[in-house]
Amino acid sequence: MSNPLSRFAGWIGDWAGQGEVADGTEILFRMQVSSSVEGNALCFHMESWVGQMQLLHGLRLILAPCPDGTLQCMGFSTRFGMVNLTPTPDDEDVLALAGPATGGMQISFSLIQQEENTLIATGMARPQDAPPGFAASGGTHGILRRVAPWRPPGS
Amino acid sequence: MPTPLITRFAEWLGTWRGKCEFSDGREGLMQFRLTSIFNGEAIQVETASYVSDSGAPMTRGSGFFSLDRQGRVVNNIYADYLGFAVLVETPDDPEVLSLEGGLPGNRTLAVTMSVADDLMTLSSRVGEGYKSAAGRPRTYTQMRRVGSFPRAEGVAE
Repeated sequence: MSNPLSRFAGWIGDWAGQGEVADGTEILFRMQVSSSVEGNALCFHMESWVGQMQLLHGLRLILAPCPDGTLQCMGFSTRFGMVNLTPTPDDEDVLALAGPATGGMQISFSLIQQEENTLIATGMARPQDAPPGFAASGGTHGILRRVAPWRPPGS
Repeated sequence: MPTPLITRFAEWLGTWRGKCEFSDGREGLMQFRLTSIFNGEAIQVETASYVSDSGAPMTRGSGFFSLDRQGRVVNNIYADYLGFAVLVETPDDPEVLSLEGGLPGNRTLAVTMSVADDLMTLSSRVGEGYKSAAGRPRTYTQMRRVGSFPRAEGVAE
């Protein structure tokens, strides 16, 4: 795997947990992190569900190095359309991304490693033309723990 | 009920492989895999190319198709040799998907794709400046479907 991605390689696997959106609605989270583009990228596939597993938000991101070595991220959101995100400076155990979506929103998203098998996920969206001091709504917050997909007994 | 995106591109889904002529004169094998995601709201496109005689990897990429509010295809792409780009559909014949967008370094990428008789044809050019460079060498491939035709998510059997 390319070097800029190596600090996130330990996140490869399946994650699940609970969280809530800004209005207090409880959600279920699922995230799958996988090596992509034959080791040149990481793919983050995220889904949040409400009620009887009704999809609230689906997000699939590709995080990869540009030819100049800097990391960039692009993907698709079921709520915001195409997203193009840039990592923002943060601690070694944090992936913080921000950037525009084609739907007219400015997206910020972060994953914070709390413990070895625990990640805190936060997401926020605000209009790209929002004035300074605009209070973003629609934020999502959740705690994800590493899970193992079910396998038949004895396998 | 299939989404408008899947209604238009259902026949494109699946894995495609064929010989490829690259704009720098090299030849190789190209593979495209198009997969419906999120019940047809987007299509993920994974690309790979290989040296013909050794199978060694040449290029890798990934991207997404979706429709914007005007119904145009928007294509978010990453390619290991190009970087990131957002391509937007430009007018063309109904059966042809033409896309164009900016690359880092004041370059442009223009891609034309079509599927007819189970043959996917793709042509792409990288140009400099703000205009596509019709006279520049292009990467060109014709790919055949590999395996069976997949049923798209959101399409009734």
